Amino acid sequence: MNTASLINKPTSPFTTSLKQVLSDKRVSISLLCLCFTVLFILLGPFFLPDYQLQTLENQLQAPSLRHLLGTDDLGRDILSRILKGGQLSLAVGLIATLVSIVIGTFYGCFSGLTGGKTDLYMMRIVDILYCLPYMFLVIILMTFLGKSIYVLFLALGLVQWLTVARIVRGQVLTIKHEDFILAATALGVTKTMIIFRHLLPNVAGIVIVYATLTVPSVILQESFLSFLGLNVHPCTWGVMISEGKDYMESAWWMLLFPGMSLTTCLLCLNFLGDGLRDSLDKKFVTQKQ
Amino acid sequence: MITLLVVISASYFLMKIAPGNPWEGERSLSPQALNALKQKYDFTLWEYLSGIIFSGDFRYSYQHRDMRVSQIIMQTLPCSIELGLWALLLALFFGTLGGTGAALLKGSGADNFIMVFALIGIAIPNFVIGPILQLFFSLKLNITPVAGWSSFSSKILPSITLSLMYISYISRICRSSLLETGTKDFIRTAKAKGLSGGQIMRRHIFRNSLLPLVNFLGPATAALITGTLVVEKIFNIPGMGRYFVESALQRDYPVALGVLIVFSALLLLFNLITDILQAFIDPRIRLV
Repeated sequence: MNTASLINKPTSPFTTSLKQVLSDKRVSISLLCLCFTVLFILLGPFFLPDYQLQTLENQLQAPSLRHLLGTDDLGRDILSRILKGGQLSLAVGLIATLVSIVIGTFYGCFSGLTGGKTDLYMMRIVDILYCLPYMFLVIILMTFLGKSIYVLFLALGLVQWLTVARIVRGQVLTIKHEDFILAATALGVTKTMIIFRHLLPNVAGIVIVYATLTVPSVILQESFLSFLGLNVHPCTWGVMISEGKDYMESAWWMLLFPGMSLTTCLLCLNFLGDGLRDSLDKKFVTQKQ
Repeated sequence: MITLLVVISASYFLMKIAPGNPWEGERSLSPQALNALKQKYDFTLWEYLSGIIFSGDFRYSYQHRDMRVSQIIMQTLPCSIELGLWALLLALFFGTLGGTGAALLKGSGADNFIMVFALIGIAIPNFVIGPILQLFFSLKLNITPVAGWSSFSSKILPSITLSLMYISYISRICRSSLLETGTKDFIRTAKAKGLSGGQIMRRHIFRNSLLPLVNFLGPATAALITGTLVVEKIFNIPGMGRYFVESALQRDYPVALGVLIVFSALLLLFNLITDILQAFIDPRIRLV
């Protein structure tokens, strides 16, 4: 027997946590589904008819080999439109999440690190904003500033950062008094540098988990707004569901397929976020023990 | 209270900076007409604030020229509140029923079924499930009216649509909370004292599992209010949510902002009720 195989190879923390996360069946399955979906959304349009192509003799056709998921009231291929809508939804989800995560993380870091009166007031502002019916605010913002995709990023990002700020602040408060922060302060490291070099790496885990849970909620809100008529593009899932609702008696496929793709997407993303959170919780528990 | 003041002031300034107002049209108006319009639609922050707080006056609508915003709200609010209450009741009843059932039969097929149902219920947005329910129950089976808000049968589908997500949430919360309380030391003590299973369930487990449920009520109300926006649109219910969307799209700012203020007030009220209930259920909170 080879003695070398008995000695455990040191594994990096990254690979261990990756293994731990992937051992959760929910996470691995939804990750696989999501990868497949993203690939399909990105590559699919090359093999399908253009999503804007209107052929009036093909109106409201049931699913067939030529149009796999049928056509809508203007003769457009539903599958191509779903893929286009998927691109938009994913883009909006990722970018708005990024906006909210960046704002929330810095706000929370700064508030937690400064402490005292500043912290109190900054968090009181968050509390006040938390009490607002935010969906109404987003709608009003969108009608004020126009229906552009940048306004949507801004509006959704602006309401989502509150929870991030709270979580990050809580995390910062627990690590603020650790020795390495004290040492850094004693060495005269500026506050910005402490945030970047010491706090951010330590809150990264929890922020990533929260980000995966934010993406589906942003996608849901975007479809919600499109459904109400505040769409940024004529081809999002919310618009398709809203159109499908009008034709559901004669053409059920116009309602069912966009609805199903939205639901599956949300389900996968939620599973992924839940799984990541559970494994992070497990890690904290084992660390404490 | 401060939140409400902030909301009202912010609404006022939004209304001021909003592009377009009733007295700036293509036609130039005579000074008298201009004055009359300004008197009706132009006001200071203080007038707006005191009007709302002391007499519930939200000024006039831009679109419906002779309607006061408060009239519109008074006509549409009862519908929305009724819808919200029905949905909340349904959610509480079926949610606790499902959650308790799942907790009692932990690990069985029924438990798995309820939890899978709850997961799907959370993932399906209400604007997807609403039309699907309409399609099946109204158009195919002809059991309920497709839309509207008059007879009892027309209220069934909207309430179910709105409550489905909360049934799922509540049954999940209820199940985990009951199971967690079941592992506490005082339950073992109660068993050791020789209490019957039913007694333990009623006296010890249920009462101590209530808190997470009550905590959920605050955010749930917020989300219910948001949900009324789409449900009222799908089922064509003359409620405040539908009016809000319409007036926001038509840039009728006094109405949109008035509705925003009323909803914020409702939300704050429910948060307050939640806080009071928490202190009532768990005396430990009162001490802090």
